Amino acid sequence: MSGDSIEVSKVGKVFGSVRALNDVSLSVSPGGVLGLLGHNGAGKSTLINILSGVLEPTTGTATVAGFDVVSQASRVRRRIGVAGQYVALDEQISGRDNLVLIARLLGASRKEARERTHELLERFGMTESADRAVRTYSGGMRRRIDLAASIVGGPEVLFLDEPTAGLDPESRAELWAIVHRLTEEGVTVLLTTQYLEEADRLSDQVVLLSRGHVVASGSPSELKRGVGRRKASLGFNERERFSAARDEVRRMGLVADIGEANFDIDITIASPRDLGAVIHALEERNLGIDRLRLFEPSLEDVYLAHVSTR
Amino acid sequence: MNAATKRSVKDPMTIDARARRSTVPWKSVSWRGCSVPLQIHILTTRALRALWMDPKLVLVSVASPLVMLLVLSQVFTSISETRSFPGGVDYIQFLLPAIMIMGVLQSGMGSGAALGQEIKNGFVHRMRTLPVWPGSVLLGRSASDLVRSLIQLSALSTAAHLFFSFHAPGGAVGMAVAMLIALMTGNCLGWVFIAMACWFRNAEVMQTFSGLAMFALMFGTNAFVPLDGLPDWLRSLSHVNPMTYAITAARGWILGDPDMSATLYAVIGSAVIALPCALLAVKGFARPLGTN
Repeated sequence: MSGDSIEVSKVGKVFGSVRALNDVSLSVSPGGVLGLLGHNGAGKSTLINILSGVLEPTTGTATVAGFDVVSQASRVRRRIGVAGQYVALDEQISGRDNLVLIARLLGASRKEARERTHELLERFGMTESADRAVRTYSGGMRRRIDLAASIVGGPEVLFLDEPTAGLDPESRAELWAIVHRLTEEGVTVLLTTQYLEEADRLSDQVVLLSRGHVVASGSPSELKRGVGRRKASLGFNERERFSAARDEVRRMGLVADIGEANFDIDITIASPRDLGAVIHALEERNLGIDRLRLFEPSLEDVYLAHVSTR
Repeated sequence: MNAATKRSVKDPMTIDARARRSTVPWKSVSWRGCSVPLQIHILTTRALRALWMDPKLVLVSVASPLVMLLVLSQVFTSISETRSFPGGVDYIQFLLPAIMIMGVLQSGMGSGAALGQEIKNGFVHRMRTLPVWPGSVLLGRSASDLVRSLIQLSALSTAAHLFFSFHAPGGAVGMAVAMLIALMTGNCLGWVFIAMACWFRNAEVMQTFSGLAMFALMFGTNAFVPLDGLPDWLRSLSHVNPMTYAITAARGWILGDPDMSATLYAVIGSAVIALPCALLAVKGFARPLGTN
């Protein structure tokens, strides 16, 4: 038994003829936050279901909080929290009742359950709506109460399956803030997401999953560096400067995508230094740039970079 | 730029300001789960809590048998004048026990549908991630259904007394035993629907199938007309229909002429149905989610 909070070793999962996971290995040290990045069908939820003891792996082994997810599933369940893509609560009863219910099932006395619920409701800013039935909650409130439900037992390890899917930007930011705080308190988190930005903000380690395979892993910046190229868009207000700049960019040998209609030149650069060189060259010829945009590599880019180089 | 956005996520949120006041010490919670009986108790109360939050649910479960009672008592009253109908009995006295059984059967179906819904919406999934025995979820569902049926039957018989000038020749004892029979049958047959929910895992399929089952179970009995009034083929079918015995038994107690063998058949029959269904339900429920 290693000291890692999550230890996945060559886990595979087959549903009928579908191979959902293939030799997936990863580990998360205590207090770490791992972002599991991948498209729909990449196997993210399957892995979470295996690690939370809902599904059994077809091959391989996994431990969570030091316990085997198959043979010691009940011990694992007492130490984890899971918040899924869907709000897994009793919608007919209030948010408060839901939290009390879970605390009681975890073994809290009535009094302990009430106190713990009160703390969590305050922490999540939900005291006012606590006594309304969950079915009357907005999407953002549902996610918050669901997240609260997942940490009732003070889990050592928290699994968040696409915690912000389908949320508006404001609710998403709220949820990020909550998750961020949790990670600061030292809980180990494994979160899945389709958004590189989300993985970037919340996690210190990212694993890229594609069709059940781990295609890349590392810190968010390592992954992005791995992509190397990124796009920059240089915009001009006048045709003259635009044309001159276009020629200059071509002369520099940069791959360019020209938008004749709005005088935009999109270039692909390998490093920020390249962009500096371009700007410098244009400035020297008195070709001032009117609009400059830099595009961070997207998940698509990371995907393409890693899938194509495999 | 990145660092700045990270900060903005972390800092000025109102939630965070509220949160700062109560810092929950993280590892202080060390609960170790609870016993199965306690799990069942907790899950039963939570299902009842839903009734408390939304009394409409109770209202509907009482209203629909009442409407049945009203309509059927108007439509079929003439049956009480036919030769095969027991003499000296009002049609309403004949009908109420059947409506009682039908009402509890409907609750049973409702609990199957509710379970199907909870498998779909993820509540069951959450239970799976907690240290809870899967059977507790089902037993809690069934037990809360029993309480719900009790409320329903009490309201139904009160309303029948008040608005339909119903009175039980069998007296309070007869009425109480009839209710017990109804509760037992309803609860046992409820397991059929719970088992269905566990295997179908689909509320729509459940609904269609339940409607069909209800129709077959109720009309192939002596619920609305005496057995002698049924065509031969339906009469022979009704002999293997557990509902027939439940209705005959409940009716006997209410009319003050208890039919002991029907009572025995009703009790044993329901148990015989419930047991394998309950086992099947637990087995179906324990199948991994997301494989269906």
